Amino acid sequence: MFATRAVTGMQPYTVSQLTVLIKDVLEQRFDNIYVVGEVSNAKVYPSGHWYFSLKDQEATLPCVCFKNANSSIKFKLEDGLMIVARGKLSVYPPRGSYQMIVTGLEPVGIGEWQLAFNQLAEKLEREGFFAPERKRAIPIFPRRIGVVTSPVGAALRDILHTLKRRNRSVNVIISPCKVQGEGSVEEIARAIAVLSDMEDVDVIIVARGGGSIEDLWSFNTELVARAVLSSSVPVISGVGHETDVTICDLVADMRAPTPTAAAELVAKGTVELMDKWGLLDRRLNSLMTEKLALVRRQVERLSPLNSLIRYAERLKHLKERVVSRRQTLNSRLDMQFAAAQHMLKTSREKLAALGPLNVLSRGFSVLRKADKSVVRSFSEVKPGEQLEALLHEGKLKITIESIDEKW
Amino acid sequence: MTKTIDFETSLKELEQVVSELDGEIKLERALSLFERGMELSTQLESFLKVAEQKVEILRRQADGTYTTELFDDKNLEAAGDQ
Repeated sequence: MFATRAVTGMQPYTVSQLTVLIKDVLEQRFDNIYVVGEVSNAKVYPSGHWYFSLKDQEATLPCVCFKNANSSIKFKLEDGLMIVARGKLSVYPPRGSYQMIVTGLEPVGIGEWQLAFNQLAEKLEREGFFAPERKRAIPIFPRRIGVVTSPVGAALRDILHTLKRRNRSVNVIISPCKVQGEGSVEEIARAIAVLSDMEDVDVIIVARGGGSIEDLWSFNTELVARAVLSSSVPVISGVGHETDVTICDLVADMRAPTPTAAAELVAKGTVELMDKWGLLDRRLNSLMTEKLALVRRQVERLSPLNSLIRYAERLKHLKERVVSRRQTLNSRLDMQFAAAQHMLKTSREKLAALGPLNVLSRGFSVLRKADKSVVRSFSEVKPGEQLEALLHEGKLKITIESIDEKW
Repeated sequence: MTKTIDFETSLKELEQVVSELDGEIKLERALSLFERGMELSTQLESFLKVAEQKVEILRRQADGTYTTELFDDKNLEAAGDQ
C-alpha cells in the first residue's frame, strides 16, 4: 500500500481534513431530500427533540427531529411506522457519523391527521374513555342546558333555533370558547369544566359547525377528551357534519351528527313527555265522559229515575200554572173548602146517628170492599185485594196479605 | 334532578290511573281515579308550562370568576360556519 502511495506521490489527509471534505460533499449533495423508511428506536428526549432511525432491510439511517420542527406534527412517532422524512444530511465530525436532520414527517398510506386520530383513539380506548358502561343517560327533563361553542358561530345559532322551536321551557347557558386555532383546545376544555362546576346545569352540549379535519382538530385532542370525561353531567357532542367523527364524539355520553341534532336530542325527551302527558290527559277525560254516559244509560234503563224526573218537571209546570191562576182560584177554593167542611160535618153527624160510630170508638173497625160492601167473612176477599177500614176517626187503605180460615 | 324524578313519577301514576279507568270498574272508583288523575295532570302541566326560555352567556372576569348575562342572539343570524 505504501509503495503505491510512494509511486503516486499522494499526501495523506488528516482525519479532520477528510471529515470536512465528506461533510461538504454530503451536506451539499443531500441538502433537501425525502427518505422513506420504517421508524425504529423512536425516543422523545426531555428536551422535546425526537431521536429515531429510519431503516429498510439492508440499511439504517439515524435521524433527529428537533422540537421546533416536531411541534407542528400531530401524530406521535412510533416504531414500525412507515414514513417519508424530509430534511438534510448532517455530518458530526467528533464521532465521524452522519445523521438526517428531519424537518418534516409524513406517514405512508394514511393521512397524518388520520394517523394522529387513530393513535389518540387507541390510547384513550385502552384507558377506557369510550367504554359503553361509562356513558350516562341524557336527562329527559333538563332545566338548564350548557352549550360549549363559539358565541358567534352557526352551531350556536342552529342550537338556539332548535331549542326555541322544540322546547321553549328549557334554559340555556352558553360557555363561549374559540373552537379552532391557537389556544382553542385549552378554551374548550375550560368552557366544559366551568359548566360542569355549575350546580343547575343538567346536560352539556359541545358543538362546532362543519369544517375540514384541521378546523375540527381541537376536538381531537386529549385535553378536550379529558374535560368531557371529567364532566359531572352528561355531555352531548355535536361537532362538524354527519360524516365527521371526533375524539370528543367518542368520549361524549352521546354523539349527535350535527349541532342541530344535539339540540334535538336534548329537547326530544321533554317533547316526548309533553306529548305523552297530552295524550293521557285527553284519555283521562274521554274515559270519564264515556263512563258517565254509560252510567246514565244504565240508570235510565234500570230505574224509574227518569219517570220521576219527568214527574217532578210536570209538577213544577203545574205549580207555575197554579200560581198564575191562584188569585182567581183562591176565593173559589175558599168557598169550596167551606162547603166541603160543612158537608163533612153534616155527614159525620148523620153517621153518628146511625150508631156504628159508637162501636168504632171502642176499637172496632169496619172493612169495606171497593164497591163499599162490608166484609163479613174471609171467603169474600182474596189475597192482594185492597180494602177500606173505617175507624172511629178516619179510615185506612189496607191490602190483604194472606188469608187464614181460622183465628 | 328531583324535578325530573317528580315528573316521571307523576306521569307513571297518571298512566296507571288511565289504564285502570279503562277497565270494568265501579262508578265510585272511577270518580276517585278521575279526581286523582286530574290532580296529577294539573301537576304535570305546571311542570311543562314553565316560564319563557332564558338564554344566558358566561363572562370571565379579570379575577378568573364567571358572571352570567342575558345573551343577545341578534348578531347570530349572520354567523359563520364555526
